[in-house]
Amino acid sequence: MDTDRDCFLELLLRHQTEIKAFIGSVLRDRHARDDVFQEVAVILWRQFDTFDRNLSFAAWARGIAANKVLHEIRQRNRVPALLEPQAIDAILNAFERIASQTADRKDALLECLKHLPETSRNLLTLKYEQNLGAEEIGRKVSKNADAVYQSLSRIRAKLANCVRSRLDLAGDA
Amino acid sequence: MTDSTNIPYLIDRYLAGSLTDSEVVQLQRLLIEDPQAAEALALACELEMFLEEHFQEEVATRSQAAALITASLGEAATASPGWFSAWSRSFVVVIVGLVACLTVMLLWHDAGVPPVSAATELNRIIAISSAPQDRTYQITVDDEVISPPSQSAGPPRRKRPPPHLGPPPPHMGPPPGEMRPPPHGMGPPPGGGHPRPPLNGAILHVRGGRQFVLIRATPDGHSFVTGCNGQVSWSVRPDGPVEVSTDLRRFSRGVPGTHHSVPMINIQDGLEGLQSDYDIQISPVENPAEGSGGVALKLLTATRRDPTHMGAARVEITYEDRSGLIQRMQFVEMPQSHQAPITMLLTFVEARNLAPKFFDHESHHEPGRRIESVH
Repeated sequence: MDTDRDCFLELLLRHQTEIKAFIGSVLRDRHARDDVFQEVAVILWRQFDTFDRNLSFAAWARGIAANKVLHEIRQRNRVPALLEPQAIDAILNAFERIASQTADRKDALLECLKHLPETSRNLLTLKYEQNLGAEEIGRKVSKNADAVYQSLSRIRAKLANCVRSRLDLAGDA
Repeated sequence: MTDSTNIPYLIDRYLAGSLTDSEVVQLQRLLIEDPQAAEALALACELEMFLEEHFQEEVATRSQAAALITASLGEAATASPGWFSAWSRSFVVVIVGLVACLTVMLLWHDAGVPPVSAATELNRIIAISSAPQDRTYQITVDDEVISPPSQSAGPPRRKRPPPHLGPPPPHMGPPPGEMRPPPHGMGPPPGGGHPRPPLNGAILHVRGGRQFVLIRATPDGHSFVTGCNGQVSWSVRPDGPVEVSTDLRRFSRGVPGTHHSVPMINIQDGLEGLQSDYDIQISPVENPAEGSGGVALKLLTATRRDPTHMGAARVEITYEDRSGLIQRMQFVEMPQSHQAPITMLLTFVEARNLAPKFFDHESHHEPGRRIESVH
C-alpha cells in the first residue's frame, strides 16, 4: 500500500504540470482548472491499481482528465469551456504527439528565461507570479490592457522560438 | 476552408480569453482539421503552464524558506485530513527540507552574503527533527562530570560500557517469579522490586519530535520500556500492569534532565527550550569522528546563560551540514535530583521507518496484559 502510494505520488508530482497544461488548454479559468485537477488526482489514485505500469502515466492521466472535463461540461455545465468535444479530442491527441519532448522543452525554457530582458521578466512576474490581469498589469507599468496583451504575446512567442531553436541545436549536435 | 495564417492570432486571443463567437468557431474548425494547429495550441498552453509553475515555484521557495525560519514544521503540517492533504503535506515537507538545505547552503557558502544566524540554524534543526522520519539513538551516561574541550565532536570518554546495545527484544513479557515493580514510573519500590533502570545503554526511538520509545535494561537483565505515541504516554515494566496516562510527560519524569528543558526524550521541545535559555554558536567540525561517512558535520554549542538555571551547563549537537540530521547530542554537567551532575550522550544509530504502531504500548508487550490508567 505504502509502496503503491509512494509510486503514485512520485508519478503525479512528476507529471502534474503536463496534466494541468492539458486541463488548462480546455478550461481557461485558473480556479476551474485547479479544481478539476484536484478531482482528477483523486480519480487517478482510486484507479491506480488498474494503471498498466508499462504505459505512460501522463497519457493515462490525460485521458482520465479529458473524460472528467467532458463530464463536467456535459453534466453540470459547472466549468466554463469554449471548445466542443471534437476539438478537445484533437487537443488531447496533440498533447500525445508532443509529449516525448516535454522535459527537453522545460529545460530549454529555463535557459531562455535567463536571457530575457528585465522588463519582459517583470511583466511575466506580474502575470504568472502575482496572477494579475492585463488591466492591473497595465496600471503598474503605465500601459493600456491591449498593449499588455501584445507585450505578453510577444514575450511568449520569443520564448517559444528560443525553445525551438535550442531543441533544434540539440538535435543537430 | 481554413486559414492557417490565423493560428497564432487565434491562439493568442484564446489564451487572453478575448475570442469572438465567430473566432471560436474558426479556431475549433482549425483544431479539428489541422493537427499542427492543435499542436500549436498544446505547445502554447504547455509554455504557459511552465511559466506559471516556474514563477510560482519562486514564490513558494521564498515563502517556505521564510516559514521555516519563523515556525516549525509541526505547526505547518496541521492541514485538513484526507489522503490528498497527506500527499500535499508530504510534498511540502520534502520541498521545505530541500529549500531549507539549499537556503542554508547558499547563505553559508556565498561569500558576499552574511552567514546564517545560530538561531536560524537551530530552527532548521528543530524543523528537521519534527519531520515524520523515525530515528534511533543510543544513550551513554558518564557517572561523573567530565568536561570535554569545547567543540569536540568525537564521542566522550565512556566510564562504563552500556549494558544493552542491541535493538529491543521482540517480547517484553514478565518472566515468571519477578517481584512487583514500583507503583508508578521510574522509582524503586520501597523495600524491593526492580531496581531503577539505568539510562546508560538505553535505546531511544523518536518519531516526529513528539513520539518516543525508550528501552532500558534493568541490572537484572529485563527490559523496561516507556513511551509516548503523541496521545498517551505509557510504561511497560518487566511485570505488573501496563500503565497508561493522558499526561504525555507522565513517564519521562524520572529521566534526568526532563525538568530542565533538556532535549532528551522530547527532542523538539528540548531544542526549542535551548532558544530561550542558552547562547548558541555554530562551528564546522574539522575532524569528524569515525563513522560519519565523510559527511560534512557542524557543531551547535549551546551554553547556559544563567548559572542558576537547572539545565545542562552546555549542550553540544553535532549534525549533518546538508541534511540537518542530528548525529549526536551531548549534555554536559546535567543536574540530577540529589545526585552529582552527569554527562550524557545521544548517538544517532539509524533513521528508518518503524512500524506504524511501534510507538503504541501494545507493540511492546504481549496481548492480554492488564492495562491501568494513571494520572
